[in-house]
Amino acid sequence: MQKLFTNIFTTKKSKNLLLEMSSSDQVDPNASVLSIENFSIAYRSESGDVKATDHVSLDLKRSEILGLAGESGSGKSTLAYGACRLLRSPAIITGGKVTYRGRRAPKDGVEITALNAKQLKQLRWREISIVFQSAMNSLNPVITVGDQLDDAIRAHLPMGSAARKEKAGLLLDLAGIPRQRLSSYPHELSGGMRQRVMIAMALAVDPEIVIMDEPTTALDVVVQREILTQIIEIKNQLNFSIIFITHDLSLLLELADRIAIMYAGKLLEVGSAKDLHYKTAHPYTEGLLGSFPSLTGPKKALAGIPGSPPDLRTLSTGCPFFQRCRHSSSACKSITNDLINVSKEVEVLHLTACPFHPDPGSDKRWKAPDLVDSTVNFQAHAAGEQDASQKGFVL
Amino acid sequence: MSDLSFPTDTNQQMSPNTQLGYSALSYQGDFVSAASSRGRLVLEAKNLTKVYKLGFPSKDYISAVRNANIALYEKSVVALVGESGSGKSTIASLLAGQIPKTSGEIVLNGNSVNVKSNRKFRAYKSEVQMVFQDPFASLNSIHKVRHHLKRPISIHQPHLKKSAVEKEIYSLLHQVRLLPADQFIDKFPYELSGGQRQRVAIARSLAARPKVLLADEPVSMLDVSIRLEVLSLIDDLRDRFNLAVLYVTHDIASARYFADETVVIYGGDIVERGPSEDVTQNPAHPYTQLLVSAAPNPDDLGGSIRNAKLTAGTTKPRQTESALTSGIGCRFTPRCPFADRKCEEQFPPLVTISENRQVACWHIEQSLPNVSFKKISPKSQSTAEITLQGAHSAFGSEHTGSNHISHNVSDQFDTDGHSKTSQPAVPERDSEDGTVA
Repeated sequence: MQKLFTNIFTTKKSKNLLLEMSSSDQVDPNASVLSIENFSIAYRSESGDVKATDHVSLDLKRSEILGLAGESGSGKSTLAYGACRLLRSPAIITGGKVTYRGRRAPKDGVEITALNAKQLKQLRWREISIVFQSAMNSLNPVITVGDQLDDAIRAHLPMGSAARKEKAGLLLDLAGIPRQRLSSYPHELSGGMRQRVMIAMALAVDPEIVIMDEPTTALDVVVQREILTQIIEIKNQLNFSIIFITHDLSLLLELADRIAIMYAGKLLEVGSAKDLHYKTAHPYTEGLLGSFPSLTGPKKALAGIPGSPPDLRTLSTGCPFFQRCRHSSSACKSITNDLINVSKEVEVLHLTACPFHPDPGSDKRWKAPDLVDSTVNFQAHAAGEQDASQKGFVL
Repeated sequence: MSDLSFPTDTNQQMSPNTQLGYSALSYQGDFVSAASSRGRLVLEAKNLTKVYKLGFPSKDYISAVRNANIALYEKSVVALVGESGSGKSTIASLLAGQIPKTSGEIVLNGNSVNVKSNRKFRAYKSEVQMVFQDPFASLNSIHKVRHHLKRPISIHQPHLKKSAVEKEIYSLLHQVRLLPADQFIDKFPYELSGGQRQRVAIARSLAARPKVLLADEPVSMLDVSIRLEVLSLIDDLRDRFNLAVLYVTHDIASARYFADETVVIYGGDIVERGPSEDVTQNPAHPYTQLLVSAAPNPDDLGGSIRNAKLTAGTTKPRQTESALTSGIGCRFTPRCPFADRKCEEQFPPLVTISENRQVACWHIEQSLPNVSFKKISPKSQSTAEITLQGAHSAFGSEHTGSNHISHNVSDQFDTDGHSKTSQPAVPERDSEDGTVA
């Protein structure tokens, strides 16, 4: 079998088993590790294709945390899994390509969308690994934690058993679990510890990209905080990139370098956490930001987002968020959803799909052509559609 | 602190502070719940306790809830906040009559309730209803929405005729805003989204015309954008139906917006209670401070998480079974930055620090270093006089540099391997006024 990825690190040479990646040559920090271009995935069904991911283009930079946010059914998991070719029928890739440019990959990158099964096996885990949703339940209940870690290492790295054991111990150290837990079974660990084990497993063979799909959703806030802090700490040591999928935007704002907002299979806004928070350029992001209560600062009226996501089979042209948008006008039905850069700084991208976005730093007026007064329009919508949730939530 | 004498019997949680020897705390009046201004008292739990026996071969007992006092008032929301395993759902189940209590008393409309027979259970249920966490599991997938609403109506309002029942179903769907009702009434649960399902579950609990709604994490399974709608629905219904609501949650931020009173529970003990705004803005108990500092803070861009500083307390293990079985001492001791021998050996009583705030901590004066307790007069109507700039001293990232206080039990419990995170030099503590020098 031909090696797709060069194994530039042999275990005998590297003294620190875990830090082998970061000790390598310095590379351009702005280089992207994963480029997703015009990527589309559909779920085939009798009543038509469900376009779960529709012409999405996204770059993941080296040692960056990219947040992927959106409601359930917005296609964020589909995008991430599809990019690793983890989906099976009825999901099909209908267009676009994904290129991986890791340090071990050939110079001009590897087109993941063109790999065969054997090559994919080399890619997965070693290059891109995933912490799945409800990951705590994906550990094998009848095998010890140590054996499960060992299994992953043995499958991907040419190491002796003593070295593997040492590496598994190091991984648990990293994840903040005492080493004697190597001989524990999953049921002997708490939910938070199991989650940490899953993160250790994802890092077992030093991947360049780790995809985390709602890794802390089932945990309570204190444990969530511990684990996120741990993730960042490990990331700072090992220099990998993270795609962090969640519906909790408040968490992402604190955690991620860049955030991509997905809705109905499309990217609606991409930008740095700061830009998204203070220079929101899409009504959907505005809705998401207004839907979680904050612990600090004065209490503000929370609006939430009325209605529910559209049926992806019968999506009409124009903005997919049209029906639920408080600033929408008839002009929204004919927009192209192409991402526009609204950033005024050089080399900083802040993309939005809404052409009627307010100017950054202005009075935050959304400017759809026939929208005379956004507040009036909002009230008209409220009366016509869901009266319930439009009521501001101030207590 | 050292010259204060504490009695060993700490069962009397509501007793005046003077009896407990808190000379520094001069608030002498009775505790008044922050929720009580909304309406009359409906459901009250007095010294509610639940003890589970561990299975064979262990002979140990776990007290999941100890001496909990909770009062629910008409049109008010009381939030019960704590981490998983803290016993908050146990309290909700006890109040709902789902599980038998070990000791204590539940008082509904002034009458002590003892749910034993089926008939009594049903009568109790028509007053006290529960909404569960998981709307995907709590609805029967082979029955339509109509069935889910029809059954509680015909059980709890047996006098209604068929046409009246149908009318009631429509009215319920209107109340929870599943509109148009015609469309929703014949749908199966799988045809509904999570938020819509939870609305059906709420409508079902309203079908009994209850006085009390116990909401056990009603929104934690829902999308963030949907949560608000469901919460504002419950908020709206409590006014229209004169409901007393118990809102069980681990999200202390939503309690701030939604609840009149917030009760913080740790390891089965109530550690702090008070008006939601006060509790979230000026947390007094070290555990509440930990909860508040752990909640995601969107305004803290690139803040504490990104800089990967493990704050004190978060590195400590959670309460273990042994902590729940051993009866003595404060259960937060292993994770608490202020813990000392006394915390291990004596259980801290719930002390009234102002008219409607109570805290159970031996070291309130240290966890809240800038509080001058003496300022609080018995007649003060609010806690406004308390100044609490240092409330986050133990856990807040902004204070990690200066206000760290050493903890003598940390090393033996710190299993997370992060004791290496550099702890700042231990500041000298002035024992007179409890502030950090």
